[in-house]
Amino acid sequence: MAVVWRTKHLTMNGWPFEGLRRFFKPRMLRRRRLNIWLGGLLLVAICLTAAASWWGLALEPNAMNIRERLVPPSRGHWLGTDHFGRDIFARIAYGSRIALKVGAGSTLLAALLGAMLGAWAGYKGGWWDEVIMRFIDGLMAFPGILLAIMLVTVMGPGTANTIIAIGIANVPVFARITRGVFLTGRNALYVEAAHALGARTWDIILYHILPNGIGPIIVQAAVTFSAAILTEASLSYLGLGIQPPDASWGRMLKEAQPQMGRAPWSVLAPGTAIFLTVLALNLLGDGIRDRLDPETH
Amino acid sequence: MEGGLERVHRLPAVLFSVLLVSLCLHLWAGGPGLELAQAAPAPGGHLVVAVPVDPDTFDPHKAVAAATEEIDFNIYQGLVSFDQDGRIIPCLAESWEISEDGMSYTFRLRQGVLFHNGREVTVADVLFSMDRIRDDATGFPLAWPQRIVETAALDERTVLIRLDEPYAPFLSELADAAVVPPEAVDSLAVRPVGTGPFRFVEWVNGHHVELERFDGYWEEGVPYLDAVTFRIIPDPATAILNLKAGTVHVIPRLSPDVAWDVEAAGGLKLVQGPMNVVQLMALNLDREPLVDKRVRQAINYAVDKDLLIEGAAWGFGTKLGSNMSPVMESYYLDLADYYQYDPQRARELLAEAGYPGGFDITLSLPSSYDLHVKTGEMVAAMLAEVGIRVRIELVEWGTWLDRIYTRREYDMTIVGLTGKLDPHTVLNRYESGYARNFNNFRNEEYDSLIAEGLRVSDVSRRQEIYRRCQEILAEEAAAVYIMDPNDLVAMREDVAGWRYYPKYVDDLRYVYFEQ
Amino acid sequence: MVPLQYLWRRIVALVVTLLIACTITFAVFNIIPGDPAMLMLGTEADPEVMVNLRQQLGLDLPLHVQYFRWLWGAAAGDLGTSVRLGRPVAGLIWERLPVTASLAVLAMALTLMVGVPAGAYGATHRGRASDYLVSILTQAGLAIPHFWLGILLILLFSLRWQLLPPGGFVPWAKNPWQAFLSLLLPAAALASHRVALVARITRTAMLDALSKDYIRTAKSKGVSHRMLIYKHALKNSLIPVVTVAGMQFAGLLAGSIVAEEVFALPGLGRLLLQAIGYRDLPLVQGIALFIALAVVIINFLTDILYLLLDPRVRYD
Repeated sequence: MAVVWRTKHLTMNGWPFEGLRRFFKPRMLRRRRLNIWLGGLLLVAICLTAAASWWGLALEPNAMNIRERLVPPSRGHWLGTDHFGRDIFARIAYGSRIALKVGAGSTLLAALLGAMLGAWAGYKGGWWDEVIMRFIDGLMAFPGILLAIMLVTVMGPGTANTIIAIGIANVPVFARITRGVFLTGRNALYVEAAHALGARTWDIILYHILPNGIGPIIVQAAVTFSAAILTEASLSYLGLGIQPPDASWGRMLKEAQPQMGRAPWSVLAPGTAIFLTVLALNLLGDGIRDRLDPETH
Repeated sequence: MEGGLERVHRLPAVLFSVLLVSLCLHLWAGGPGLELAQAAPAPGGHLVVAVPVDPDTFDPHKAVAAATEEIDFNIYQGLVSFDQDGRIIPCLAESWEISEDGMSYTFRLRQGVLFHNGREVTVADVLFSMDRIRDDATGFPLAWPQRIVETAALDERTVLIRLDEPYAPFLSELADAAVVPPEAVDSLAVRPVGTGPFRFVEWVNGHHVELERFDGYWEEGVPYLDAVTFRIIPDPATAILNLKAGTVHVIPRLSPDVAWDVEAAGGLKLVQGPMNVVQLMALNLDREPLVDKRVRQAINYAVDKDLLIEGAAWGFGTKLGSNMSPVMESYYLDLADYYQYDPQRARELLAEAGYPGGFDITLSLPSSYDLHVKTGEMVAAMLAEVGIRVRIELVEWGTWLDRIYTRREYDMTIVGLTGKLDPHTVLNRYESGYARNFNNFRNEEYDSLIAEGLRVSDVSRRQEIYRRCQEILAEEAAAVYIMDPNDLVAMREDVAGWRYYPKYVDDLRYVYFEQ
Repeated sequence: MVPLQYLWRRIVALVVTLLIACTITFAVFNIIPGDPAMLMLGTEADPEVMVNLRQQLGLDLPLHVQYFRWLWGAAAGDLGTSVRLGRPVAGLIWERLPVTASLAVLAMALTLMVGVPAGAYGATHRGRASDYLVSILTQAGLAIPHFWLGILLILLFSLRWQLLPPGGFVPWAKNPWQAFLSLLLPAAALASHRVALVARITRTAMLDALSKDYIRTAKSKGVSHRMLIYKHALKNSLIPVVTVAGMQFAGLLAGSIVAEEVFALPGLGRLLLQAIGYRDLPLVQGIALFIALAVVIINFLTDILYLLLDPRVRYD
């Protein structure tokens, strides 16, 4: 069984790394703690920036001042100003709120929807399994960003729709993982016992089998979180995600591009913000995976 | 938005651009200008022009994309053409007569005009082309050919075209109707054949379109160039790098946000003129609270157009006050300062109209037009100053056309209305019954003026009519008329003879390399 | 060998997946508003001409009829006609494909050429400073958004040093060297993430292989160190690398949508974005379907390849 799971995971996931990692039992134990510390610290810093924006400690992110457009970093404007003379640091801070919101929101949505679909398919098996998993396969035929683009096109841009689109694009991974857990779990003795005692289907799913899948789901959630932030940035860069006047890192990059020759700070700042956030989440994700993954211990 | 200081600082720039614009126009109005006086145009040379997108089709009776038109102008010609002031001039027809009732047009065909395939243009070709345009199956995008009730050849050099009723803009519209050879019609979309100064050589999709000089061209002495390549370069930064490197010689319609790069570089020049485009914030007059004229006027007072031109268009624009660009010299009425920026006045008007605390409203912006999006972001901030809370909504162009333009489901939107050669076709969109009156503007006086303008052919009366129309639009605050964005053309210093037109064309007949 | 029965089952699943992908594509894009007829004819269009055009395009038919007509056409390789460009969708895809495909191939080549040696180096220098450097770079590569890296590369290589073009594409037939140069920066940007991934996998696989009994045996038999690493260990660790590379092709196709926008390359991704902007449904559907098709088929082939390479897998 384990071997089968491995190949499926490997070939259809599109993110084969976890599978391979289990396969080859990496010995990176020493690095584990460093990962968590570094990632955690970075993330705290990012959250603090977001909070600063939330509590109004940074400048107003949308205040324009054409007279002070494209001012280089200085004491008044830590990261300089953009083409409308808006303070880039204030916008970066506001953008971190957006990024965290979209990342968390879409990951939560994907995990919930995916786990439900996967649980149902895995638990019910047979016809249900076939229909749901074929549909998931169909969704998986579209690379994540393409699916997100398609969905945003249909629903229209904006923060809420971006969350939904990225969420749905990530459903398949969670569905697969959960299904795997349930395929093995549903025949377990204690599940049959619960069944015999008259427990309702969703109760069995939620309280008896799902807890076994929490580990892999959390690991996947960490991966999805950072991927979702990248996807949001890409969508906004393409003009399909977050809409003005809301500041989003991707959109800031797009808007700064024509000026980058004379105002390089305006492309450096948002890109660095994306980079550091994704890095923080990746490091944390690695750390969590090492903690939770029993096979590497 | 900060106060008046900036406007004072900005004034010289605006003045300068206006001066430059009028200078350009006047220099070129009478044909060869100053540049010709310095050095006689030397024939020869291969010009490379950077354009952002591929043409959609080379079939001139189907093409709608402006990007196609700018290339087509060098390949195809109609019975009449237009000069730099938008006046109608002879082209394939050397002369014409209009009957008393204004319904019959008789064109006398120029002799010895050749198609690029070497065959001489005959009246049969003209009739064929007219009939093809009128045929619904062809898919000609505009409705005016439906006004034609009869086409006939009176003799082998004379063509008669009869309309169902007098239609003053007919000749201007006819400038869009290319005469094509029937034998080539099936492959026109990919292998154009016309009568223009340049002949099609090849089109490598996504890369370039190449044209060469047509030696059998009927106009004496032009074109000067041996060949022209339109290189498709979607990214303006790339285009500029190519310009600096000399692999591209001209970038027409340069995006204003990269103009700084051209200005900063040596060996390049940047020329500009108004585009004959009306950038406006359209207001849906059927929606609360925009039904109230005072509210619309308040919005007009709250918008600082000078700051918009500086902030969104980097100063490259000409301020407007009504729905006409100053390019349309003889019909234009200067109303640019009809509503001076005055936020206090705006607040008063809002209070008068019963909105002392402002209101919530949505501003829809076509996402693919950077200028309109930037303008919209600034307008939203300006309106917030007087208490109007604007929600910005970006829509794709397809959605814009469908929902806003056709179904009129919007509050406010910013768009550029492309100019036409005739004032009627510019202003008739505000006529109550007009299918594209997406502002929902209704005004009896206006309607009767538009109707009259169609019937009279006396120029001074038409001037009166259309000037009054512009005045009504400003008075009624039918929209916020913002600017005519300047058309920026970046070129190598040795390129000369570029001409501006009130339409979206690149005329390469007179372009040459200075020695 | 892969058993025929298994292969057959996979092919059936493949076809079903494709059908579902078709349905998803069609369903998604027929919900959105937008009148293709108007897009074709522009803002001043005559309503009567528009009605005619709608009929011509079959837009007046019920949705399910449109769906089956489209599906039937797609099966025969006819994806319909682009509304805005008035040309067959299949032809347009075919025209743009070389750009995207060469970008993907070049990026993949870079990925393998940099990723495998880096990973092998890390594994053979395990625990030393250089190993840590490799893994720091790997972490960075995994976190850097490739479109931002693209912008930085343009800033440095094109604007500052003027070594490489900042965008645009020269067709291979025109000038192969120029074509290669115009793809170099986008390919590098696109490869960054995958280089890191491949380096990581190679490193892990190598470490694993080096600890295997047969390597120890070989070592004890006196096989030279170099031979040991390159002939035995690396060869065995390439199995996962090859399969991962195959799967990353799908990711490259998706990534090129954004990369083509950054570098203004006239590829499939840009065509897709333009088509979306203009609500050119036949074109959007066609491209989305084509990408889905490519992904499914490449995944399928990778799957088979993996089974061929790794004898330890059971088939059920």
